[in-house]
Amino acid sequence: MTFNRTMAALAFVFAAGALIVRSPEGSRENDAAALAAQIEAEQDHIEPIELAKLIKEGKAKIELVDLRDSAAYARYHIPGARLMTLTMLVSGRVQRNEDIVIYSEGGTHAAQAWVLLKEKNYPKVRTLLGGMSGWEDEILYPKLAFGSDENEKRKSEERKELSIFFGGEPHLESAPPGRTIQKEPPPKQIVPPAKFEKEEDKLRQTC
Amino acid sequence: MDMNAPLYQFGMFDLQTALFIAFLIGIGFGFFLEQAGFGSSMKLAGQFYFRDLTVFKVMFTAIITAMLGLFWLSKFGLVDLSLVRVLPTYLVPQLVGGIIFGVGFVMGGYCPGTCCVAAVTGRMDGWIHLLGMFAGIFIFAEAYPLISDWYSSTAMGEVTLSQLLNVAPGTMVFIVVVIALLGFAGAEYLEKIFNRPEEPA
Repeated sequence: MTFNRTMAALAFVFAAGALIVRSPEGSRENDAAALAAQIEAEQDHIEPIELAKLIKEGKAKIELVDLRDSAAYARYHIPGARLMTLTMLVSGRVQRNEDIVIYSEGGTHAAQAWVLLKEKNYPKVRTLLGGMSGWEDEILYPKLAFGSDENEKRKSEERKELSIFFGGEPHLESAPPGRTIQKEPPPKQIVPPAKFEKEEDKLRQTC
Repeated sequence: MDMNAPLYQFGMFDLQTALFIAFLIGIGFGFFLEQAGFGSSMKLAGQFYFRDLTVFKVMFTAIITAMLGLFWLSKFGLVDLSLVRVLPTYLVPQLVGGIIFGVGFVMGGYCPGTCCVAAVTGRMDGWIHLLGMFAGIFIFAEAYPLISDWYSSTAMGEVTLSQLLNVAPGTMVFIVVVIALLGFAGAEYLEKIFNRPEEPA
C-alpha cells in the first residue's frame, strides 16, 4: 500500500469513528442543571457597584451590552456599552470568550439574553443586577447614609466618587424624598461612547 | 481534562505574541507551498486543464486534516470548539467574491498565498499578480461605501455545514471525508486521462 493510500485509509478510519461517536454534545438535562447551579451560586449577575468599580479602574476588559431601545441609549448609557437588539446579540456580534455584561431597563430582557447566550456556550456572561434601574439607584443617584464610623464614611465617599464619575448626583439619605431621577443625567462620558453596531464594522478575515 | 485550546482564547499569550506566532505560521505555510511546487503558475494552472490536480488534493487534504484534528481534539476535551471563530456567511457576496477569485486564479495562475510565494522566490509573474491583488484591494476599499449594503446582504450568521443541513457534526465529518477521498480518486483518474501521451497520427 502506498503512503497516500495509507493516509487515505487512516482518514477514513478517523471519519468512521466520528460517525460513531457523533458530536461532543452533552445532554440537555445536564445543561439545564448546570445553568440552574450557576444561577443559584449567583454567578449569573454582577452588582452595579462592582461593575462601576471595574469600569472606573479600567482593569477588566468587559464587553458591555445595552439591550434597551436606541432612544433610551441615546439619553444615557453606561460608558463603553454597545447598543444591540437581542437578535443581534445572539447572532454572534460579541466574541464568545469575552467577559460579557448585559443590561436592559429592568433586567428581564437581559436575563433572557443570558439564557440564550449560555445555550450557545458563551462561558462568561452576566447580567447587571437590576438593569438600568438598578444602575440609576445604586450608581447615578445613590442615597448615601450618614456614616458615624470611619468605615461607613469611607464607603459613602467611595460611592459618591463613583456617582460623580458616571455623571450622577448622589444625595444624603436625610435629604427630602423625591429623588432627582427624572433629571436628565449629564452626558459625561469618561469612556468614549459606543457606536451603533454595523455589520461592516466587523473585521473580515480571508485566506 | 481541562480544555486549554484555542491557546490565545484561553489567554496563554497576548496579542503581540499571537501576531508573532501568526507570522511564523505564515512563513511555514509559504515554505510548504513552495516545496509543493505552488510557486509555479504553470503547475497551478495545470489543475484547470485537469493535468495536475495537486492544488485540489493539497487543499482538500488540509481541510480534512484540520477537520478531523479539531473534531477529535474537541472530543478528547482539548479544544473548546465554541471558542473557535467561525466566519459569518454572506451567501451572495461571497459567491460573487468566489467567482472573482476563481477568474483571477485562472487568468493569473496564482491565488493570493501562492502569488506571494512566487514573488519572493523571484518570479516576475508573481510580482505582477501581487500588484494586481493590491490594485484589487485598493479598488474594493474605494468602492466600499457604494457596495457596503450589498456586502452585508444575505447574512446567514456564523453557520456551519452541520447546522445548515441539520446533521450531527460527526456525521458531517464523515460525509466530507468521503467526498474528499472520492475527489482524490477522481482527481488521479483525471490526471491519468489528461496526461496520456497523444497517439501519433
